[in-house]
Amino acid sequence: MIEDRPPAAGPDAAEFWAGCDAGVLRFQRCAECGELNWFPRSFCRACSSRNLRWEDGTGRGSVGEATVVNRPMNESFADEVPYVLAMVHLDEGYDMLTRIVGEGALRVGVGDRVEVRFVRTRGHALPVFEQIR
Amino acid sequence: MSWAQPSAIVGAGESALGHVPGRSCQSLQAEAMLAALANAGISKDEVDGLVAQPSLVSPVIRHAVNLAQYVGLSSDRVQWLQSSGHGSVAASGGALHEACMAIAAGVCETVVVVSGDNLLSAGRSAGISMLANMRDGEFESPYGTFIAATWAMTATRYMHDYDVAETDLARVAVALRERAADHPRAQMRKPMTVEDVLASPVVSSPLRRLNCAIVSDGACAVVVESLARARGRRRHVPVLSGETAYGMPGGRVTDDMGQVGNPYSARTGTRESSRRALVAADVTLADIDLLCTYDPFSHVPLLFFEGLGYCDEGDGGQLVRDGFLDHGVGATFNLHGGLHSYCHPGNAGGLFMTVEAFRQLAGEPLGRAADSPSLGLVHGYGANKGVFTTTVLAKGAS
Repeated sequence: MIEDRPPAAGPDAAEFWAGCDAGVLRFQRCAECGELNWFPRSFCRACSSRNLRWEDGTGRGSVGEATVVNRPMNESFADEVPYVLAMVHLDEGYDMLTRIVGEGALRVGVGDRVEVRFVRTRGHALPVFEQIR
Repeated sequence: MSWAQPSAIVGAGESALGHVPGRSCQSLQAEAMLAALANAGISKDEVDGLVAQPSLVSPVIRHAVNLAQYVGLSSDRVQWLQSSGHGSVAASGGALHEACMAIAAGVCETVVVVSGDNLLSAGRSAGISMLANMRDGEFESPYGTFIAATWAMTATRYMHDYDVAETDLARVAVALRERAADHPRAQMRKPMTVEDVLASPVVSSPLRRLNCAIVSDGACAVVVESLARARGRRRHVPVLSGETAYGMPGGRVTDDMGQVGNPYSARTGTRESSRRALVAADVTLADIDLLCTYDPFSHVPLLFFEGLGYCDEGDGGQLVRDGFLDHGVGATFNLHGGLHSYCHPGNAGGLFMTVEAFRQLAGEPLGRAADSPSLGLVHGYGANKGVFTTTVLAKGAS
């Protein structure tokens, strides 16, 4: 189950995962040029500055792409089907791969509004999303 | 780019294909290498370069050196042994381009490009899990993603935004099966209908099992030489150009993670790599009369057709409904049957397109024949949705 596969948290994303554990979805913005950086990194992808600041996001966004997985290619996911994978476009302007959970998840569509939830795992909490009105 | 010292393909070969139990990746790749060399009329002792794609089932970093010793290449002759990684190779197009670069640089004269694996016989728990496990362990794997699912997400968006129906996707799968049925080496030759596709189980919505690439054992190889040297061989198919797009024009390099924000990277990347490749070859799309594109899932060729410029954005479904796959250049699309029906042992799926294009342009097709094609376009991707590669090949000469 998803709880049994904690993310392999890397050093670039320590603040991100600490945020997840505290119930906040964070992202990096460059203090020099203002570029939003996702995924977490040590250098700004635009200007190469090391002065990347962490910001707390709203955790809200819209579904850009989604699929209901019936037949996973990896046996460790077999007990979770059907599950919903999605690309969520965050209101701050970046996209993340995630899962859609909760009531109605199997019927989620492009453009649906969603909000972050945090699933406990044996490691850090994992951000997933649930539909909101 | 087109290379200052141009190259040509002088031979192609394959191992046994399909369900080939009891064979290692090395054994299959060695068989394909030797078949390609025999096809070219070249001794293995003449080979001075090797570009080999590592196994997904049992990956070894020093794969090319391992394979060279397995086959017994000449240590006096060999100048360059390259293990060509998965992500950057853009469905093996990049591996061919690496060979062209080594020849253009004057490092090598006779290079074998080989790919293949025992993906089917290794079983789901080995090969396919390996494909799933290639995802980023921090931001992808925890969610249970895998290649079919990421492309299924794209399909959902594509079918939401445009007039593209499940039946259009099914038509692509059926057209590829019809081609494979006429090819003696294809793995899946049993005739199939649109209804069969729509009745197959959903793997990851909206993609059904028969919308997905098959899983195979097998390997293929081509032999690449400088054009000057190739002119002395049985026949040669000139490589006019090869281009790779590593992201959006004016943007930054992307991979499958970095492509976020652009659900249509397959279209934009294709547009960029093919535009450059056609310019470098000094030809136009209208000149192309042989077409091979990667076809891992049924909607992907539609996005490629749009990116190549055969129709406007979003009209890929209509293009197929209008009979594109039955007439003109569309009728030459993946005449071997593609990843859907011919052979797909992982990385090698793309190199089989190059083998097919070589055979067609050399006038030596094994299955359905294009009508004396003069210019071939081979297109694929790598890094899942990040890197797109286009190659232009000319008619064979002797």
